[in-house]
Amino acid sequence: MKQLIIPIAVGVFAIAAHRDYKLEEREAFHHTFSNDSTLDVDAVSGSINVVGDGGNTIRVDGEKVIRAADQEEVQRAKREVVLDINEKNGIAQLYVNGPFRDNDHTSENHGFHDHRDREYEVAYNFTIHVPRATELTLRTINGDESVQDTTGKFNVKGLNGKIAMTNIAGSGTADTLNGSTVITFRENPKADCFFKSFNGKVDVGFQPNLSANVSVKTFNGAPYTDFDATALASTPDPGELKNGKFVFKSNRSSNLRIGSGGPELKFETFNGNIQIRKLSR
Amino acid sequence: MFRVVYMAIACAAVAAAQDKVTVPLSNPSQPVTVKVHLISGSITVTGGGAAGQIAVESGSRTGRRPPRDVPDGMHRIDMPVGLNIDEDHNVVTISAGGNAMGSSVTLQVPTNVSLELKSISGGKIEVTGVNGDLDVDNTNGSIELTGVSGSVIAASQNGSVTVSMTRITPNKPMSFTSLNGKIDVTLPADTKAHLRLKTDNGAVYSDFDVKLDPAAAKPVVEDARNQGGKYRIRMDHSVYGNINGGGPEYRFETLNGNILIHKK
Repeated sequence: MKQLIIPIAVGVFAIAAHRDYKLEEREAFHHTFSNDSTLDVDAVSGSINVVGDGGNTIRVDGEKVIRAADQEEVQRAKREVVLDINEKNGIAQLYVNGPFRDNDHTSENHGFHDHRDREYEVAYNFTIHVPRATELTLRTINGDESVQDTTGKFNVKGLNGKIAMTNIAGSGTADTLNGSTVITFRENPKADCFFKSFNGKVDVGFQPNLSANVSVKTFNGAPYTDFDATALASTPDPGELKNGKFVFKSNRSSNLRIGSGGPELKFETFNGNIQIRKLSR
Repeated sequence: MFRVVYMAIACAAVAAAQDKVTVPLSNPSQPVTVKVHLISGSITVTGGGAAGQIAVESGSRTGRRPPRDVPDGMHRIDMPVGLNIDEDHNVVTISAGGNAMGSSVTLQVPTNVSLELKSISGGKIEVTGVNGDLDVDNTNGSIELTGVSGSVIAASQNGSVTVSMTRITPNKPMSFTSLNGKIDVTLPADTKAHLRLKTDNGAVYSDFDVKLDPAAAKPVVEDARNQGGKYRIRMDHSVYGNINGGGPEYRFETLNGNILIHKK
């Protein structure tokens, strides 16, 4: 039920973000973190692009794009929407902060609350180079997320945007609502993974020697694979007695084994197709 | 305490996503009703199963329809139908989630069971060897009830209705209807009934001795003129007749198809 409610709320957000503003201001910035093992980006609008390389530090190249109705609103946007750059316990954090975050009044901005409609929008576009093994926690609401050549754990969440991860290793979650989730592994995951898109397709490519337990779930989509797969027994669910009533609810997933089994890889869509692809070496 | 047995069959290939569930009945000595509601798919019910339980099995939902738009070199992964089942005071309700195209649900039930089976498209509804009140509705598929007893209401739109009854519950009206399909019903020789027959583009055949009852087919006149209403004559194009001296009304109706009423 929760999933059905989200798109409605998002629709409102997306409409608000599509206004034609006359003024545009771009402001580039650069930041290098000292020595962190995890990158944590929490953005609202704009793209996140992460590239793994042979460097030792996390290097952020960013651009703040302000679109506003007039100069006063540009200044307001500059004042109200800021990028918080934090570092703690080995985590390099980029957090886009602004009045839209203050729903629970936890920010420091406890003075006068400006309730005029915001006649501006702010997007942050990030290109972040990281050491390959960096662990990633990425999320945004309106924008695409891409990752290349990393080997660490990942947790990538989107809402109105696609997720593209190319030539990666490691394991984790990639989950978006209105966009595709497309991933290629240069080294197969050694731990459990979850790949999901609600309205888009999920397309994940693995090395030919994949050995995993796969669980596939979709409502309107069709799942495909070119791996040889063996159907597994569903998780035994005998049904249960609730207040004297017998109740059985199928978990609606199809369980397969590829190779000799291994980590659990879950694929889920509501409306899109699922492809589990064998990459040619 | 009832023991609930669950099994899942693992077959070779990527196919064979199945649910297999045994549903215990709260009170096996009391009347039992089983309801199956599908949007798309076939339903098969066989009587003579173990007392006190309903065995439910569902096939995969890829079904007979060959998948379209399969990417090159890939094969489709079968998905389970995804059944929801509950049992409450001997009423078992089974439904499938989503638009499970081409799914199939197979039930093994005790002989004395009342059924309510509904599907819209994608397959046949078949019942064999069940005694009870049978209410079967299949919009786009055929209905086949074989060796059943009790009473029957069978309705299809675009499929045929074929029913053979070994015994009937006396004094209970029955109905066999379709729009574009044939109606073929076999009744015990001593069945007492008042038949109401209607087919627009077909014929009615029977080896029963049908005593036609033209009086029953008189148009109905509704006169509401003295209350400011209309004068209306309702024409009923049905033909009425009695077998074995008459009894409850049995309705046989189709638009494009023949009606066959066999004597057993």
